[in-house]
Amino acid sequence: MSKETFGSILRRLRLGHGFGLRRFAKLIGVLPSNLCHFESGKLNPPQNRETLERIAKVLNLKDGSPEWNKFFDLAAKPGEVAVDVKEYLCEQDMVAELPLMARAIKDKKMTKAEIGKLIKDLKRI
Amino acid sequence: MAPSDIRFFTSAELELAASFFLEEYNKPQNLIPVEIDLIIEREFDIRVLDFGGLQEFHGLEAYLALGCHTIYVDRNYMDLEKMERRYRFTLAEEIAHFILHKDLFKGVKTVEEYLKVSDELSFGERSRMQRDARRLAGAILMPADIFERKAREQAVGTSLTGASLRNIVIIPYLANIFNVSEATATVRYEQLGLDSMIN
Repeated sequence: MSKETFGSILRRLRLGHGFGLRRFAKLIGVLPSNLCHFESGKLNPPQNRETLERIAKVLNLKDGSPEWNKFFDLAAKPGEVAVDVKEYLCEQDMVAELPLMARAIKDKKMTKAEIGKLIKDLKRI
Repeated sequence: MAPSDIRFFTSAELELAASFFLEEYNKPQNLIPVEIDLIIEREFDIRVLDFGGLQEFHGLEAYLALGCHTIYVDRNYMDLEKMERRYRFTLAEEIAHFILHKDLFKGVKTVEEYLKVSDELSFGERSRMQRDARRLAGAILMPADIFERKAREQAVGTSLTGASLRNIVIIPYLANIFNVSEATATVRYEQLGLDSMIN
């Protein structure tokens, strides 16, 4: 079983409580893209107690409960990329990251050069 | 699925697919607006990730990765309040592609193979695939029965008729209820033939 990180527990609890990404981000007062980054481990967990408490309350964690404590303990251990994301970044063939059917601004096929550029940027994500 | 095996769908098939989708995944039943990002993550185990500059540098709003584990969305679409409706429709369109076309690049392992499959798709085929995905996306976000009922309810008790009734009274109301753009609501209104039914 993968080791739980702040990001993985946050995502598990969010989905378990039936919150979509954007709605949850609004409820806890962060940008949806930052929420994505917290969950993937790309951003360290918020270190502001008030923000963490707000998240915990929206997730209905009871103050002092084992889950509450785990949530705060994991938030205090920044710098770990969620295991599932880490494995995925290492192992996945970049081809699997290419668009199935791109919702393109201009209705045109992507050229080899454009695909190369996209792969380069994907590696930076 | 090689390009030669591409399947196109009738409107009736796409409406039916949307009904199955909603029955299976939109919980509690008939929840409006459909929380599409939640369904994608929770029910399909597909991550929705932001991609800074996707539109600016690659000309793309969003896309479903071939591996079908991630939908990348331009960061502005994800973050900006004014883009919420487009974000929702874009995600619905991507999950529609997953439902309809996920096998298109099956077995593709290299960029060259990817380009080959991509090149074999004619402009007409791509357009038709996009059209099918958009129709399914609209039907998912605006379930036919609820959409029609809400439109009829809103039309009651107003003195306006015809295009004024539609454009001033009904469409803005439907767009708000379903959290889609007015343009998207108008397309759906026309698809369902409500113009001739509500006057």
